[in-house]
Amino acid sequence: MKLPHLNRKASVSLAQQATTRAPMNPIIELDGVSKSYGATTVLNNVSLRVNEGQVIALIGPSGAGKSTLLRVVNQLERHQQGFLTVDGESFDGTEKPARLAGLRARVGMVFQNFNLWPHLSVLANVTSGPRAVLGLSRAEAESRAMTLLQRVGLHGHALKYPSQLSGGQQQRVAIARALAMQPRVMLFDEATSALDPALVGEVLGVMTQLASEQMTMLVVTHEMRFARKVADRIVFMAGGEIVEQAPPEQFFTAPDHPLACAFVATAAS
Amino acid sequence: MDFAIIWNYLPYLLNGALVTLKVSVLTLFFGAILGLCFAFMRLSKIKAVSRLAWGYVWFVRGTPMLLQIFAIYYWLPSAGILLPAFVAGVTALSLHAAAYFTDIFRAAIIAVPSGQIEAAQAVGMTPLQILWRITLPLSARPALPPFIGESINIVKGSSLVSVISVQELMFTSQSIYSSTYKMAEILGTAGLIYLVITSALTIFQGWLEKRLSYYTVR
Repeated sequence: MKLPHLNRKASVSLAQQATTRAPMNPIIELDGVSKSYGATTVLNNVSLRVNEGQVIALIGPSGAGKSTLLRVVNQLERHQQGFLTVDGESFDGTEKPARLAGLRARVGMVFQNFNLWPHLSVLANVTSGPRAVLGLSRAEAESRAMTLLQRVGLHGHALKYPSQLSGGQQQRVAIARALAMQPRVMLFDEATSALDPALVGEVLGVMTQLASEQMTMLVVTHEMRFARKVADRIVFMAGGEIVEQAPPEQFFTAPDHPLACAFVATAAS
Repeated sequence: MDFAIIWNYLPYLLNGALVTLKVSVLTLFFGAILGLCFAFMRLSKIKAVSRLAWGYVWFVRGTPMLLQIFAIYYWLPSAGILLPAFVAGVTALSLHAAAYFTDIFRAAIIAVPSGQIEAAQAVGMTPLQILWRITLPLSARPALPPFIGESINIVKGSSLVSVISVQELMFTSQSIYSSTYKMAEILGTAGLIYLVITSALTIFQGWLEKRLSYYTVR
């Protein structure tokens, strides 16, 4: 518990090293973003920069604002102060829905509860976005979908309905559905939290593979081993603020902030 | 029982039944479209729009259908709008059914899980695309049982337009038994014909429920 505090000096230099190594094209930038519901502040002056190809793990206690932050990036949650910039385009939270559709087409999202459309086959779940939003022909969309379903190991299930699949399979379909839009960024909102422990691995496997293909990813997760292994940077949140950012090894061995220390200690036990 | 009289007048009764079917189908069509519009108005974020639809449902559901039929047939002409009995009947029934369809559709739309709407937003679909591809198909299943229930009400309720002399099944039956005095035979047959029509709707419901739920069972 106390040991991490002794390493404060060392951790700063490691963090500096990490920033100099990272590729320098920012694809997501949050600048002083705040959001509140009435008197409750859920995001308080949050600034974050994510470079192309980076994998960021957002961790922290529940209620810290991790999911809200993630949902601000595709504007499923509108922020009230500050700016969001994605792929060079800036948003202040007051844009008309028509402009948001363009943003969302470039940002893929995977939800905790999969949210597949139950009235559509697996194949139609994956082709709907590209056909409706990108204007792909049925044939184009289906060939793209089959390639992606193959990648997540589900091409044999293309004509089944979501209710006929296990949770892990459904979540892999959801990943394929998001990838079919060929997004610049992928957001994962506790993608494995609703899964049977035995099925978590297959979803994390797909996510790990995606990370190795240089996809830019923002991942809200409680899977600490995954965060440590796959993320380029850990962003630790508490009380609606980013409390600490560090490379995973440093964060998990020598966290800086007392709240981060406490969190890492509990996570390890 | 005088079966000969049933046999003799059956063609007239069936003709009446055909008018009943016409009235019902038209009412179902216009009532459902109007009801869907009011349902979306009720769900509107604009307070005034939502309240307008609420007020409509409150008023139409709270007054007797018979009164509404009379109002449209006998009172509208004094406002310069003269409708033939058939048109007035279908109009009154449609306006009435719309009030009930409003709440049926509203409840079914609310029942669509917000996560599925969010997933559609997240791939960049526009509100209209979401409505057409996600919301409407997903609300069909929860809307079906009350929708068929209301359709059955429409078929039976169409008998009320006999009061403004639309020659549907009930009107035809009344004019036959008032001259033949064979009330039991004629009304019994009319009742059977109503039962056949409403049974068809019930069977249709069962068939459609199976079709719409083959992806949710298992």
